[in-house]
Amino acid sequence: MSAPKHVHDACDVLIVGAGASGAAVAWAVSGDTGAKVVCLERGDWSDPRSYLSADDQWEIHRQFRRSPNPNTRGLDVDYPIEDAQSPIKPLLWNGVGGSTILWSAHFPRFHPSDFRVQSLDGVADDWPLTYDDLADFYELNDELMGVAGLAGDPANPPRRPRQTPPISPGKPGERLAAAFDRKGWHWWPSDVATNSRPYGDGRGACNNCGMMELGCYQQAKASTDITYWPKAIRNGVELRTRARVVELPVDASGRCAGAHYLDAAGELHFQPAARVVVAANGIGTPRLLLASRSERFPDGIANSSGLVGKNLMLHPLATAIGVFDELLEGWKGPTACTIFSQEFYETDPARDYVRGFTLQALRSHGPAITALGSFATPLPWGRRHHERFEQVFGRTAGLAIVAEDLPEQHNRIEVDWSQRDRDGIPTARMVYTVSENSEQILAAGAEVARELLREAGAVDVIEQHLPADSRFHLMGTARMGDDPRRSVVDGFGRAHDVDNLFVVDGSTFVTCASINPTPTLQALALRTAMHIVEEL
Amino acid sequence: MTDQRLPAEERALLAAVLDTFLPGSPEWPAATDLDLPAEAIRLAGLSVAGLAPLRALLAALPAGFATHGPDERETALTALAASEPAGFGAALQAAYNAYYIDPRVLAIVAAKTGYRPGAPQPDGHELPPFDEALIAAARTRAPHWRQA
Ligand SMILES: Cc1cc2nc3c(=O)[nH]c(=O)nc-3n(C[C@H](O)[C@H](O)[C@H](O)COP(=O)(O)OP(=O)(O)OC[C@H]3O[C@@H](n4cnc5c(N)ncnc54)[C@H](O)[C@@H]3O)c2cc1C
Repeated sequence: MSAPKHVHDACDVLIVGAGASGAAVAWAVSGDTGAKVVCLERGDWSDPRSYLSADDQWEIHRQFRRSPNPNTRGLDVDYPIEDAQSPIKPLLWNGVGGSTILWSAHFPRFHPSDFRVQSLDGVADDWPLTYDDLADFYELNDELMGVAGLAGDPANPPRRPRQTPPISPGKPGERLAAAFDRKGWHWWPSDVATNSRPYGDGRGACNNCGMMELGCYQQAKASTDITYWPKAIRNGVELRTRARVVELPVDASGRCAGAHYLDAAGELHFQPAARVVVAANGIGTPRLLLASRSERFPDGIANSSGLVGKNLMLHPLATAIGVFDELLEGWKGPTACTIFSQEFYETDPARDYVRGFTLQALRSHGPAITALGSFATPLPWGRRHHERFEQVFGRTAGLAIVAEDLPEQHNRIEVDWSQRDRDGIPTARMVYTVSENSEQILAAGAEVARELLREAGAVDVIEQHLPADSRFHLMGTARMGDDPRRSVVDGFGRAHDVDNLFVVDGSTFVTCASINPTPTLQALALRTAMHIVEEL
Repeated sequence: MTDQRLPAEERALLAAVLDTFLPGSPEWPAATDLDLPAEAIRLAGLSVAGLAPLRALLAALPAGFATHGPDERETALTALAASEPAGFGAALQAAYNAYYIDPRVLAIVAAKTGYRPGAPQPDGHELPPFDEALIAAARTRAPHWRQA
């Protein structure tokens, strides 16, 4: 690497990535601590008033300019991710707020059992921490993000009253809820990091536009650019956008010296730091660690275990969409956030697979995306098309079957040094196959979903197995653990090999439960931040 | 909108493909009625692959496709869905997108379902608030998460 053109004053804490986890760390290590904190983010700020949910062609934008797949939208802040060897495609956003700009804000917590799957079920590994270690951080994070929901769910440990009442389930959710009751199966309104009433710094309430994935015009959805970041910046954190970190160099003692990054003009900077926190997500983090090769770390920084990039978990998914003979107006309200069931969450020895699945209720989409099969198989074309469109549009209520993926080393993010992006960083490659266990979970989930939808009165069920563009959860690629030979970081996210380097995003997950990861990765990030504060 | 990027011959073929996808019915317009090709070309061009897959599909159509009857066209396109999946997918995506953002089609959707066409923001949609009575039965269940 050539000599940096700009060398900055050293900071106490340097964060790479301003997404869900990076924002939480930025807020938590700043303020009263007096620490000098800098965050480097490759993307830009977003302006909620220019979100494309306010444009007539919103359904087109969702597929192209604002697709969650960076290879589809191809913006200049995105980096290439080679995905030919994965049936599930990478979905994320590069910018302040990270992937929470586009996320659906489903906000469930892991269960206590999720941290102990080896002890309980004899698979994968236990985490080096417990649910109780995280409980207070979950609560703190809820307060900062703002959660709509209802305390008292009998399938989960108790939690404090939610900040706002549940999001309306609409007719699709009500239909399914009644069917769950008749079956005697668990259901509960989803915890959603979206205001059902105004909450937080000038943030509005959800007006049920349905298009969370284009960014939230009302600022009801808790993307971290409008939750943590304003607070962190008031605390004095310096956030530099359009700053692409290309390498984490090491000093003579083998500690991380800071970061080399390129600015918008392509000029190389060096930001020295006492501590570096990597929060670039389950793809961006291993990519950066693997790209940071040195004499000391020839296979990438913090990679003496060889596990950086390995054990990628993605939550394979299937959907079952019930078609009803009644108009359910599923275009009203957040598509993915209504009610959920954890009746089949835990391992059941009577079944052929270990671990389980969550069912998340789905509403529906606008006309164009409905015709396109809601990102899966399009409706039939030709002379039957209109008849089918009329049967389906606005008349569906669906279930997403979210499978717990177990860690497997051959599922991975690797870097390809022969293909580099315009910054000279090697391309990330996703190599992933769905395990037999996950396939069995999906098959069992589909059976249960069919049964439930029939109970709800569906006249037809459309099933989709593993829609490619439906998985947004990137986990496991710098796993935590107590044993440096079998993990990359410890229970506080500190790299075993480099004591001033931390990882705080979903990369650190040991296992992934069958639910959305963000509350857990943010709680972990806050815990790491508090740990860092203690040593400042 | 006029499009300069597809020669007239290919545009005519595309029109025939779109009409086969969306032949219309007494209540719904056919692609032809809406002059869909120009919009479909624009929308297909939004993909990072550009128009290449669409053009590959058009090049693979059997000779005389545009003059064939509906059955023959459907047979040809069904075969191409398997042999030319990228081009077929791009064409179908462009067709449905162009059709279902057309105000004349959206007016029919609205009349049939009450759907409000146009941007979902800033107005959003009305929904009644969550009704706690819904949860009455679910609430009666004893705590049942697995102790660990
Ligand atoms: C469409 C969609 C829907 C989703 N729905 C849900 C949901 O309902 N519930 C849920 O829990 N999760 C959901 N997710 C996932 C959720 O958004 C992520 O789990 C979460 O944002 C991950 O947080 P993170 O901090 O690890 O990474 P991110 O939030 O992705 O942030 C990483 C940041 O690092 C930056 N970065 C990467 N590399 C570099 C570099 N070299 N230099 C500088 N900056 C860099 C990126 O630009 C990005 O801003 C969804 C995601 C998407 C895309």
